Amino acid sequence: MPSDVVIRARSLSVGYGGEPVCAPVTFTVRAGDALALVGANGSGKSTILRAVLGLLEPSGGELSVLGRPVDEREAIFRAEVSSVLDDDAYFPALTVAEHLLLTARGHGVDDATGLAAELLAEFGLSSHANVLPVSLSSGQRRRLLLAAGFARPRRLLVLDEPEQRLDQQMRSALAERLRAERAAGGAVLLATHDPVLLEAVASRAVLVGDDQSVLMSPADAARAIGAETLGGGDEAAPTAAADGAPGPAGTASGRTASVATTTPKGQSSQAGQSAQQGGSGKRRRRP
Amino acid sequence: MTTTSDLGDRRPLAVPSPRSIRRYTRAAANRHGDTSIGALLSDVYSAILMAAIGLGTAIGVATTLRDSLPKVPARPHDGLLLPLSTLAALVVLALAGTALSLAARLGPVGVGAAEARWWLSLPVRRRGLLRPAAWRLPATAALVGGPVVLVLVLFAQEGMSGSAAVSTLVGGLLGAGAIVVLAGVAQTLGIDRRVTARVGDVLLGLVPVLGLAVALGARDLAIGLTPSVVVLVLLLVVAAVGGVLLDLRLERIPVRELRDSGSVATQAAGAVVSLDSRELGRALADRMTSVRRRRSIRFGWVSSPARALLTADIVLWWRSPRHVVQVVAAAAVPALVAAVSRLDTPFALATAYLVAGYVAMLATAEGPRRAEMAPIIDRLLPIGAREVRRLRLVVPGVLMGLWTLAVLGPIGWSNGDPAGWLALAVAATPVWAGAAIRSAYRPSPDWSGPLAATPMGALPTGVGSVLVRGPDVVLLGMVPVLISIGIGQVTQTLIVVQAVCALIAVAVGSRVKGFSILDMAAEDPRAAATKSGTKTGTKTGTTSTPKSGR
Repeated sequence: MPSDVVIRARSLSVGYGGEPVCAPVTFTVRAGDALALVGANGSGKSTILRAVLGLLEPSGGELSVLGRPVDEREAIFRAEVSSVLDDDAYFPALTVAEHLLLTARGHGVDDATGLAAELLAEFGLSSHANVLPVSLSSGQRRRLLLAAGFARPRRLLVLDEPEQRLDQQMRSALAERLRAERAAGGAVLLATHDPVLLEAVASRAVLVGDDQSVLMSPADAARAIGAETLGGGDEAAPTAAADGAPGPAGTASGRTASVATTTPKGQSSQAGQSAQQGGSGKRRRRP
Repeated sequence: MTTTSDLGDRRPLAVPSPRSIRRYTRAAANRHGDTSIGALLSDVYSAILMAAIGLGTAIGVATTLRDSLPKVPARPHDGLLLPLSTLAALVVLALAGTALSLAARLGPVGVGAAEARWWLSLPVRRRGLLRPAAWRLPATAALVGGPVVLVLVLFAQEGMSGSAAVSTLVGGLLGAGAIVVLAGVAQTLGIDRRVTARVGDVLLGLVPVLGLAVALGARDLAIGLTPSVVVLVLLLVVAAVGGVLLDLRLERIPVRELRDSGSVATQAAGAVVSLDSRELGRALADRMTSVRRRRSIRFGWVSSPARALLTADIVLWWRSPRHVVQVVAAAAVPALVAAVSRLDTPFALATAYLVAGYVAMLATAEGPRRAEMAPIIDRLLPIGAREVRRLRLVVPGVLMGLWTLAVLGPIGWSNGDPAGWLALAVAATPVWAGAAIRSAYRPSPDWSGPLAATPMGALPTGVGSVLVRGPDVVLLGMVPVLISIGIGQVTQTLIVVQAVCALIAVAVGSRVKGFSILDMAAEDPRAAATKSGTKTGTKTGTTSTPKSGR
């Protein structure tokens, strides 16, 4: 396996109680790469992220992170993989700054205090550094979670809908930060509903759906999100984005995809058949 | 490792120790807390004092009760006799099952959401972070189990020496601790917590049946309750080996498991503190059910709101094996008590009837309890709130009817008047149903109002009146049955009085407090119009969504 491969998923199947929540997905994320998972609510994006983080046992397929099988119980895994999910939980008696310091010091960061101060400023929390999280607004708590994701060394950053509860300015700042992450050689895997963030950050995207999961360019994925938001249509045709091939955002737009995908029953199908499957057909819902 | 942009020149140092992480968190919390060391010591002192007073009182009550029991069996038996010590041994077995079931439901190793998010994502050794959480529950079980077993044995055994009492205390302490530690080891081995909890439930459910089997099969089976040195050493070895294994394998528990357990424990602790037994039941039961079922029921026979409601209640009960077992096992308890030498008194039998009946009754009212938690369930149906309550009486009524027949039938048989006792059982059944509904729909204690200082801490005023809703109907409505058990016969007058009590219990159980205009409109549009002082020309009774009052 090449050393720059950070995530390798082959026919990865995820679900609850033995029932898959989406079609198996196949993707590879390399260092400096950012892969976005898009799809309708309940399509299985977060479930895939949880599997990548070792919080959920995959029900099938192959999955490796940093060349090893996923096991969040290993300290080395936790040292290299940073995640920001929707877990809005804080120590009630620790201040905002102390949460960041705990993260930085816990990861052995030199000058944790300086790093925490920088992140507080960057995420607009400097004036709230010494308050308890309970007094923060929903958006400010989200910013604290995101800042904590950056307050530590990492090779892979996993984000679940990071745009949630952020204002437009902070979304732009986050996009800038994620681009810097890629430029510094970090890998990013994110689930998102924000087409702007998607196009600004992702190098490739996977449209997660019930019947098939399709690898596509960020531009096509952004159009698919837009169509989904507007009530669905079939205007977004998937485009070629070869598995594992590095590609800047928006490349190869307009070409019909020929990426083979796998249905839940193991049948091969063509990506071009349904770019909008995330919003159509019979849906299996997560319990 | 890639040093990403924000870290700049900051090179990762050695990862700190788990203890330093815990200390940092505690120190930071202490800086912002307003609890002084004096207040903390005062709380610890009060807790120890209260525990000592409670233990002393319990021992006094147990020995007094034992001394008040008749020295010889109250009635001649037909070969059915169990010594008191055997019953105590069975209760210890039931306590072991309860401890195992509770331990599995609570983890026993778990962490809160904040610890899971901010601690368990750190690359430090988790063992050090989890150690305090891992020992909390075994220690609690030991501290509770030891005194409880001691009180039980003191009740069942006369003339216990000081050394025997100490042995019993230590045995209970080690046994309870060992059970929870073993549940923890099972958790580290990846054994599903539902399986462990089920083993405990089965043990608990088997105890009454086992007792009856022993009573039928072996006479005068006396069991020594004071553990010998060998038993104590064995318990110590199990607890110690289990403890070491648990400690060594703490790293193997996945974070999802830790977080799930911690979530249950937090919910259960909140329910206990807020005196909400329904919430406690939900906390302990909800995570134990499978998220998916292999088969779905088509509900083809559901053709009306009433049928939908009844079907939902039946399915909810039937799909919970624990509730089914609870009803069946509770039916064996009065018979078991009647088969115990010196305990076969009317008072003991009446107590067993009330306690076991209440336990069984709780298992039959899962539907109403869920509806109380989410009133929308009742409001979705186009029927009035009163009718909803009346329909919800049906399932507890049918199940408790079978339960009462199974319990009072044998009593009537042994008293030579089965028909009279069966008639009394039929008349008493609606009391259970009314109490089940009253208990299920009782409001939660109002913590937003003024609090009253009590020996148990600050409690909302009026909490007593909330907590007795349900038990009050049982106690008052079952007076004729209790009298019948006391005098050993059933009279026509008692049956008539019991029937009247049943009618009152049903009326109380189906009463909807805070009936709104909307509810009245659903039941009687004309009455609603009169009450509101307006004229209504439309019939709303079948289409409104009535409020289910509490």
